[in-house]
Parts: sequence; structure tokens; C-alpha cells
Amino acid sequence: MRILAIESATVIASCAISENDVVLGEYSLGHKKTHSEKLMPLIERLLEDMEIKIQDIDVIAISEGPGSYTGLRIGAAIGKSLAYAINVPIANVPTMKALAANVYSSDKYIVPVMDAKSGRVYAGIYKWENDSLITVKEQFPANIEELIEILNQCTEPIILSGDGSENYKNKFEESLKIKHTFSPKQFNSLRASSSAFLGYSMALNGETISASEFAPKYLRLSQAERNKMK
Amino acid sequence: MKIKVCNLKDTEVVGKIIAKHLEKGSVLCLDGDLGAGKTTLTQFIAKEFGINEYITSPTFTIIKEYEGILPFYHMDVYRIDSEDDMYDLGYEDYIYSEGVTIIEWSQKISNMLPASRINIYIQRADDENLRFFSITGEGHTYEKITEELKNYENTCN
Repeated sequence: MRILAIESATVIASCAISENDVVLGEYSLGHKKTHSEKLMPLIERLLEDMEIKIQDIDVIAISEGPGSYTGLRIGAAIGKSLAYAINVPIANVPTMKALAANVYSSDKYIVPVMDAKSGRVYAGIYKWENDSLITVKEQFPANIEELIEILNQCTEPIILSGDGSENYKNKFEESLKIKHTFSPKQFNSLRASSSAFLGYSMALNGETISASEFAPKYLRLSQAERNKMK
Repeated sequence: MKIKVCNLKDTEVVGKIIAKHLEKGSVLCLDGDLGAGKTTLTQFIAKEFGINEYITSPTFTIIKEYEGILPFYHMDVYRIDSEDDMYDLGYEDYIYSEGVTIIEWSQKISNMLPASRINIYIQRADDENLRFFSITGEGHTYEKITEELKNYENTCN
């Protein structure tokens, strides 16, 4: 099974092609948020350089969000059009899970944290079981205090990753009562190969959706929830 | 902090002082009645960022992007009815960016503004050209701007 993965949730514009669970190629750019100009040419180049035709792709994996509003829409527009054109399903990969997949531990929970600014974050809780990344708690929006409260109820030690783990490091150090470590910075950026890996297992489990069904997930709080936070 | 602005020349001087301290991620909010001079002040600030295009109020486009020394985003949120409208414009990508954002009629979205920002309320006086700028805010950039404006001759208090 050949998977083309698209990652545009943050400043990183990235695409990857994998054969089952092995990455064959990946291009990533972390230069300004110019995904509208850069991402499609990057995919074209990847296909061309790898001598793979778009028709040879079986599944398109898209990092569905949360993340930059504009970035997610660009990834969605590209991924949906390609999937529609070649008539293949889409694996809608939760972006926080893709971030978690950068980090491996045999016994700790992986907690990716994305800084949504103004004290807000996106996070999720995951763990590795053999070769699979299992969702312990689905990705969710929270403010930093709420997240710490949730994490303090974890029964296992955790590894924090993502830009939120860097930006709120002091806060975590101060208030986390459970055993925790921080992933090295180089694992904190999103890359399409992680979405390709997760997209493969979603496809195996029949968890894909059609091009028309796919929509970005902003995990935006409703007006009522926002008011409650004030 | 209140500043007396007697004419266009004064607006330019204040614009220059503000522009000098705006940096990546700065948010400047401009409020005041129609014709108070929000766009005029924006024009002077934009000039300092090397933007030579003629800047008009983006009342209908809501957001306009310019390429200056830094990316420069000019918003007019007068026509915005709800916070959801702002989210649907991807406004977070602008205000938490590597650029400078100026928001006219910011009080329409007061709940969504970042804590660290500069607010300028422009008030017209009886004299046709006379204006008063009330400056409030929070954060590093705000402090640097008010520090310099303290020594400006037209500062009232």
C-alpha cells in the first residue's frame, strides 16, 4: 500500500510517501507560512524525484488539525482534490497523534502539546503498544491550567513534546505532580512521515473516509466554552 | 497616557515613534469615530516599514496584507458581527505571527485580542484638526512606546 501524506498544520509544510510502514521519501520546509505557494510544488517534486505517478498512490493521509487555520485549509484543499481526482480514500490523521508519533517510549505516556497562544493549548495522550500508537485520550483544547489538572490524574509517567512543552516548560515543572520528562526539541516539529505511518494503520483498520467527507478539525472552542474560560 | 495631536505633522511624528518599537507579533489596536484618523495614523506607521503602497481602510476586505520590512497586516473589523467570523478569517494566524498587525475598530472584538498589545483611542476635539490620542496597553512593546512618548512635547500627562 502506497501512502501520500500531507502536513500543513503548522509552519512546517511537509509531504511524504511511504510503502506500508516504511517511509520512501519526505520533503519538509519550515520557512514562513507560505503553504499556498510551496506545498503543492513540493508534492509534485516528491512524486517526480521518486518516479512515482500520483495514480500509484492508494491512500492520502492528511494531518487534519488542530493547527493554523489557513494551513489546515490549504492541506485540506490539496489532499481532497488529489484524493478526489485519483479516487482514493483519505486517512484523517489527528495532528496531535502525528506529533506524538515522533516520540517512542515502551512504558510512558506520550503527551504532545501544541501552543495555541494566549494560555491555550491543544493536547492528547497516547501510548505505544508494540508497533502501534494507541490513543489514551483523544486530542482536545484546554487552557494550560486545565491540561496540568488532567495530566496530574495520569497513572503513568509522561513524556511531554511539542512547542507547548517548550513554551510552558516552567509551568509544567512547577505544577506537575506526576513523573514527567521532556522530549528533545528535534522531535517537536510535525513531519508528514508521521502522518503516513498513522495513515497506514488507519487504512489497515478500515478507518479511512472519502474525499468529500474530509474536513479540517480546528478544535475551536464554542462561544459558550470561551465565555466560561473568562 | 494622553497625547495632543494638532495636525498631520504631529500624527506623523507619533506614527514614527510607534513604528520604531513595533516588532514581530506586535498588535496595535486603533479605535475612534469615523474620520478620527485611524487609517491616517496607519499610513504613517506603514511608511516606516517601507510600505509605499497607498493604504486604504480595508472596510470591505477586512484584512489586507502588505510586505514591508516585516509582514504588515491591516485589519478593519467594523463589519465583524461575531467572534466566529474572526475565527473563520483565520485571524489567529495574523495576530500570533512574525508580522505586525494593526486592527481598526478593535473594540468590536475586544474579547479576542491578545493581552500584550497597544491600544490607541483617537478622540476628535472641536477644532477640526485637533485630536487626542489615549494610549493604553500591556507588554514590552507598549512599555517601550510609552517610555519614549513621555519625553514627547505634546504629551499631556
